[in-house]
Amino acid sequence: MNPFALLAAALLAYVRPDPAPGLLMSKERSRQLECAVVTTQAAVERRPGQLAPEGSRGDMADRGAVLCSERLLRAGLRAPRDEAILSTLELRVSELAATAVSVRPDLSDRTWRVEPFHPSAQVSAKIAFATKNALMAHGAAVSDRLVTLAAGDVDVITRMAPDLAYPAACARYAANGSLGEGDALLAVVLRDPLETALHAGVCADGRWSWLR
Amino acid sequence: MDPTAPNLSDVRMAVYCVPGPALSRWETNKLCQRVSTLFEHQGALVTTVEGPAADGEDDALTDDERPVMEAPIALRMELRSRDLYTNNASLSWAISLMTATVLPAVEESAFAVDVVIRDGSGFLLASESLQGRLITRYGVGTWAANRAADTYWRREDQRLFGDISSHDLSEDLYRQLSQLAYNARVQRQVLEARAPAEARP
Repeated sequence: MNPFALLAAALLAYVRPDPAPGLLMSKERSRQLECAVVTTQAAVERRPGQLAPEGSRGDMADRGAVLCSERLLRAGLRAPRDEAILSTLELRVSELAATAVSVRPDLSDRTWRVEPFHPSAQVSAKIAFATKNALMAHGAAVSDRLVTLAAGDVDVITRMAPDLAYPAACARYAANGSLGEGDALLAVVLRDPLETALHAGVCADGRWSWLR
Repeated sequence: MDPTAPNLSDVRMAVYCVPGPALSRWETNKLCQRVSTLFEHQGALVTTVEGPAADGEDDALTDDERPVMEAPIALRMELRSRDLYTNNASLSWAISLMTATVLPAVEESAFAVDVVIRDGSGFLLASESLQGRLITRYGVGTWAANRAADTYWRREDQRLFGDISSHDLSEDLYRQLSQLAYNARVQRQVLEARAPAEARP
């Protein structure tokens, strides 16, 4: 072992483990942790047994807690944009599904289809799966059947600006019978390659509307 | 997001920095200036205002602040800071002084920066609460060990000595603010596309 590290370990033996970069924790290792500052009470509830609860008359000194967990995937393995989206995907799609169900109550008796628009096929698959689960959690009927466009439609629509392309695709879904009268489509869209937010639009009866 | 790229070309922005217990007026001004420079480097036309955003469209702007606002403000970003906690380091200082600062005194604090971005009419486009935690270790032991570590075996991008930590913290904050502003800009475009044609500006 490096003598400097040994000396540092001896010097800091009394200091509690800390996720911040320091003598015994590299920045690289520190960034591998996801941490949140929480109150003592929240920390006791989430990690029982690891922290002494607050006394009935309060603590002698102010205490705070930092809860950390290891990231599932090594930092840098995914593109930063995809990491930002996927790390909070469940929350994001749950909000989108809740918005779709509440803003369009007229579609409550329809079967929902989900179409993600994201440049990565792997991320698209995760978004679609999570969104279908979220819709079902909100009591909607969901189908796995895909909506399709003819090659000629794709060729034309992909050259259009987003504000025109999504309504055009929606009209074509209805015209080619891919999206029937009993169906509604929830499109989850990454509109710009630099953004980390997901947008949602609904297509029903050949008419497109942005939800958020 | 690369905060040096022209991500916000020709976007008219107003940045409102709100002083509070966590940030003095001087610190608020400094933050506002830096955030303004950050967005100007990305192509935005920025006006800074000390104080909260008013409900109405650019009501809080004075005549002096208005010249770049010939067109409506696209994004109004409001920044507020608050302290989450600060530890009492007196025991730590006592131990450190008893060991002639070979063992370090450790000061710890956590803070949050609340960011709210609205469009010119006050419609909420994005909001986020960014949290940070600062650990400062004082003492000759820590100083010597860190100096040695930086000099002898830490990679350049892993070094901690000097103001590197402040630089890392600022860079993280600026990247997050840039990403939020960019997301808000796209969200505004979606809302414009959603609005009925007759209601669009």
